[in-house]
Amino acid sequence: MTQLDRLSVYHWLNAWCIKPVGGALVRQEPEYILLALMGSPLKKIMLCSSEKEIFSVEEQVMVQHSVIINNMIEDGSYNHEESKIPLDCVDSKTLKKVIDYCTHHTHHHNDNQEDLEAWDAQFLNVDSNGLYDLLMAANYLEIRNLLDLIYGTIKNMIKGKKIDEIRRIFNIKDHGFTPEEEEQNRKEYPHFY
Amino acid sequence: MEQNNNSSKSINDMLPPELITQILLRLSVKHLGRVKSVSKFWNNLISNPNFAKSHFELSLAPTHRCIFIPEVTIDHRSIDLDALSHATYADAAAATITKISPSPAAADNDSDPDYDDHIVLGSCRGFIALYQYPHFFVIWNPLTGSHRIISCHHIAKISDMATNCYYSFGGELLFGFGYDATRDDYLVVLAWKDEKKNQEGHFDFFSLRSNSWSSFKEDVIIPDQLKRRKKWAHSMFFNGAIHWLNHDGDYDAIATILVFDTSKRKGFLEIAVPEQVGRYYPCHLTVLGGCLALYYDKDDDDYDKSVIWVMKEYNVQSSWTSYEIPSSYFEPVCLSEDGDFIGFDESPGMSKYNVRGELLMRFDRSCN
Repeated sequence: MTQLDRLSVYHWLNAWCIKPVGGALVRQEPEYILLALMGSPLKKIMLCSSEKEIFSVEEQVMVQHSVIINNMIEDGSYNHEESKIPLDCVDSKTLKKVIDYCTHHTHHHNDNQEDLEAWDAQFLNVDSNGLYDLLMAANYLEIRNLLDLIYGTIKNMIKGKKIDEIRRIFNIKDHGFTPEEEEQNRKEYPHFY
Repeated sequence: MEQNNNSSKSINDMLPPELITQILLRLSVKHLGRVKSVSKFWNNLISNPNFAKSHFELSLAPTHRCIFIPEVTIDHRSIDLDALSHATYADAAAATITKISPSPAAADNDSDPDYDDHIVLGSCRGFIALYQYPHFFVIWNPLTGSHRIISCHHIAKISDMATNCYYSFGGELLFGFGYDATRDDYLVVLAWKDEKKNQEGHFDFFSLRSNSWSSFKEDVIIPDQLKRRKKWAHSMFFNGAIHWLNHDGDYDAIATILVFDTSKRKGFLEIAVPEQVGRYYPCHLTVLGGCLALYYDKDDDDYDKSVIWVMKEYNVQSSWTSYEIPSSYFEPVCLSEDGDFIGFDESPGMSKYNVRGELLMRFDRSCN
């Protein structure tokens, strides 16, 4: 299936008015339907968020990116017919983002570096809370490249900034130093603040 | 990056300490110094002894630098070797040199300018060991400025020499600075012979972790050549062991490299050095491209030449390879990413020569 241009097949099917089937809680990629018609279903797995929402995603995509999911599939603890993988510490909003990231990087791995970096930058254009949630999810699922991307982004938020700015960016309202310690630090390194 | 500060909590409340540690581990030493003051919590994470160890081993923010301390001024310079090895133009190369605060040993302005107050004895994993008159060693971190002063006045030998003849110091004393990975400890080692007590050998060490001096329990045989050496020999920490170039400068002398493994602590190994090297003095030991290397000025011809020997495979005699640089007193500092030699020359400046001795680039080192 990787040989064929999925998008053009999809458009062809669309022209024939075959719409993807969707249930209230189960999201299915349109390709799944057309592949079912082609006779070779792409293996999908089900991920379940902390809010009990189920996301169906290509096995290949998750296996390529998440060490945790890869291990579960390899050691056979995941049964395709029945199981879903419960991810109790990842909420739906974050899980969808993570799936987006993995899917894009699998399908676009041949893109040039600049385009990928631009997509990544846009992907991470979220508020701090969203960023921390993504970091924790990527850490839990052990998605190396997403982790590196997030750490790199946070590092850039710190580099070259004055201490007062860093506190603002990371919302550190109580720095934890005694008034004497803080005064001492400011006196010794005024250019840091 | 959108900020929604009213409803966002602090990063310290949102992320578990392990993840915050991971973020901090990716900062370079330079940024860590600043970031310690952001919050007490970050300060505690960074000050944790395991943090420093992980940071070094992670090397995600590596800084390979060369510090040089010109003799006449107290202006210290730091060279970013990673950037230097990639620099393709003289301007870019010169930009890798920056000023840093002088070592604590140099800070005393009352001293006689003729005295070499701060003799650099060796370096290891970013720390530099210096001797400070009359009986102190200073372990200094040039990037953060922090330092530790170690007193050795109880070692009669040093106090004796300090009061008598300062410059004859080096001959009978072997000083080394290294790291013991198995104990996660830094060591300052000192070996000498007490001529007042029938050349009785002493081999002591100072552990930074325990903050005290002890003697090596084994009967470590201190090499004979110790007697004849003329000045402090640089100790160099490499491959888990302290290395010294033992070379007394007599014509036809045989030079060797003495090796003391800081973890095994079983005695001195000797690595032989190509015969031709023995005649040349002074000869220096260094590390280039991850290999042991020696260099000296070849002054027996009419032509200005420096020779560099690189031991491509550790402790394999046949792997010693020599290179000639058409400049006198060329001191190699690092290799470029193409394997060219970058180093100090006489101009004063720095130059880059390829392995065939062709000059590729020259730039000024009196920096920004």
